[in-house]
Amino acid sequence: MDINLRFFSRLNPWLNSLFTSKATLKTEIDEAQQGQMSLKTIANQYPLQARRGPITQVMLYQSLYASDDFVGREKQLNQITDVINQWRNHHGEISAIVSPAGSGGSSFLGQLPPLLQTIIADDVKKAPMPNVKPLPSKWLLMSFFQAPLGANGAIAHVCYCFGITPPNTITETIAAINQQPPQLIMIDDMHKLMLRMMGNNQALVTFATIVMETRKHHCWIMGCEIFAWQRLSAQYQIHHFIKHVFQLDYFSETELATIQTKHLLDLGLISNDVMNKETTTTPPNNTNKSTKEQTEQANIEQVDIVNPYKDQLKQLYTISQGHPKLASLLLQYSLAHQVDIGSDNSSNSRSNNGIDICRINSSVLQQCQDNDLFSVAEIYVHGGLRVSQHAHIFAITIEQSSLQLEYLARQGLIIAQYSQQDFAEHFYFITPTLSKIIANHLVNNNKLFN
Amino acid sequence: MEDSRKALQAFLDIISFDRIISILLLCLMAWLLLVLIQFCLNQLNKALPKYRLIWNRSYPFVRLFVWLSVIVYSIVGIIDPHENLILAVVGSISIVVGLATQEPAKNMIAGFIIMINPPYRVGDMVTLSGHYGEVIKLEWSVTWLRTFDDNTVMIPNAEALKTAVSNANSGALDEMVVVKFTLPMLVDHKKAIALAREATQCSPYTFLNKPIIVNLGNEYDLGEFLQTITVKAYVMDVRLEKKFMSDINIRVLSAFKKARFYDGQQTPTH
Repeated sequence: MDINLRFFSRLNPWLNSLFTSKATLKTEIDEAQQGQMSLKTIANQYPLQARRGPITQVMLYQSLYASDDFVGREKQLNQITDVINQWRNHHGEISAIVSPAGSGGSSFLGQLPPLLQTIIADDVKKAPMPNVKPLPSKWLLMSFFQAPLGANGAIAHVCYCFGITPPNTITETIAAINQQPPQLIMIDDMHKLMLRMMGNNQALVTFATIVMETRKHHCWIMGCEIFAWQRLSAQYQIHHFIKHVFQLDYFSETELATIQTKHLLDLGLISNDVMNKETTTTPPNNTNKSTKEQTEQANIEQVDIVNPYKDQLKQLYTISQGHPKLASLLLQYSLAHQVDIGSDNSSNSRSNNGIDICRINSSVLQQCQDNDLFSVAEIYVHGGLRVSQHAHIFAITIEQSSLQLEYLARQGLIIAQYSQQDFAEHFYFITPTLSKIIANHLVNNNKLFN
Repeated sequence: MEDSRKALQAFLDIISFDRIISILLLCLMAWLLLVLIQFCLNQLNKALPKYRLIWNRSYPFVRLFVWLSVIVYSIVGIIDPHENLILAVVGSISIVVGLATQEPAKNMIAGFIIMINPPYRVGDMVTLSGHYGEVIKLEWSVTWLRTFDDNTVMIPNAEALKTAVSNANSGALDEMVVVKFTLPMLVDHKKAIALAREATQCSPYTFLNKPIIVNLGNEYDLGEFLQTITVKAYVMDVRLEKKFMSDINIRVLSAFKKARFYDGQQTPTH
């Protein structure tokens, strides 16, 4: 017996229109009153000035992470120390740090300069080792915003970072790079080197060859987004060439609580006296050699003893799923909109200190068509696309591409950085705070694979 | 004569108003239950499209189970006839129904076999009786396909067991697509292979977790020797098969034209 669902399918558009019409009339305050935050609102909170910049600015930006804000990742930092020591002992191999977007991969790379200083300081205390390769005083950071197309492009990119004139052939390039003083090199956002355009294949092969042939002389450590890594592994077998792969994930509940507790202190919601008491019980987190269990235990104690916002921190973890930037944003937004939330919610549904964390209204994602999701997936994996690149990847006109990307930007899924000269050069990237939510949706919809 | 009258009386006793109402109510409840299940499965499909083949696959079994339960409960629990009557009625009905519905019965049995030992499932891309499309519904007696022309084709299940069935994805969402290109013999074949591979890699619909294979061949056609480039790649979703084929054609032909592979080629004359 067949079941005819035509009645339901006819009913569906009517129901949708009923709900949609209400949704379109909603304002930010209306949503806040319901304890919700739309994707558009989240996108609007993104600071415009910190989007992109030249390498020198990025270096300064990275140095911000070398402060006390950095939490966890002790195991990976120890592994990196081992990699550096192996390289110094003439067993240099390429290493990669693979992490989901927004989980703090770049921040982790930002921790490597202080780590280097620690190793240098340790060396001074030890007896001199003649056979060991000398350490450079600082790291060389490479971060690419334009994927090369062709072998010459790849050679030019690498030579620019070393400050040498690009030679004509790859052999000469390798020789020139090997003549440079030994360097510790980090490549941030390696996935930005990959682009679904003709010529990029050769560029990646050339780049990989240069790195492979100079790995004994220079210490290469690359940071890559996990879905892009998956593509690189499947298509270029990158995992065959990289010996050490360190995985980072989003933060655990304890780690996230530690980060947010510091934010609460910055906001003046936790007193300094209480925090001082806390810090005496908590070991330093950066150069900590203790096991992960000990650190977590210490963190739990820290949060349990003094934190009156324990319930909110749990809520934050549940909603943000360990995404640090999203958690910070939710916390700040919820604190700033307490009056609005309080005007709609009943008192008995609120937590003991009267603060509720906003939930995320991701209904916009459900309304996205297949074409939109394909676009978002490519923007996600590439770490951002220009209008012209998007048009090339999807074999559509630049005008169509521009309209589609602008639509997605209006939904809050991506953020636009406008070019003053040419609309084809507008740059769109995934809203950083939404990276996990968007990635999950794309995986569920068969647009991203892990 | 007396026996016949008694049998008729027993039969009339069975089909009392109460029992008919009870059976109808039971059928209604079963139908509502199936509507609810299908509605839930549709919602699951919307929420988790990646697993749509799993949800869709389960429905034929659920429907079979529900209706079998209704039939068994109606006979044993509601009608509760005398054994002799069951034998008499079943015997008579079997002969009549068997003769009248030979083909449907055959299809239903075939449908049952297909559910137990499936050569295809809901969501698969199959060629059945010369029709190629996605299996959208698997019923007791028929299989429904949706072709790429958006036609819905109903194929008796007996056909599926009688003839060869070609299944393109066998329960997976990705599917291999084969696209063939012909080039003049003078073209640099190594460059052509590299271009075809990279152009395929650039398609946003290519499932990159599986390899892209490019094969070189040759043939003699229309009075000249030609080389053939066959691209074998996986599409991310079976529903995008035609779109993917078209996209590969666009990209590979553009690359070939940009490399001037077709320049100077004369239109063959007969």
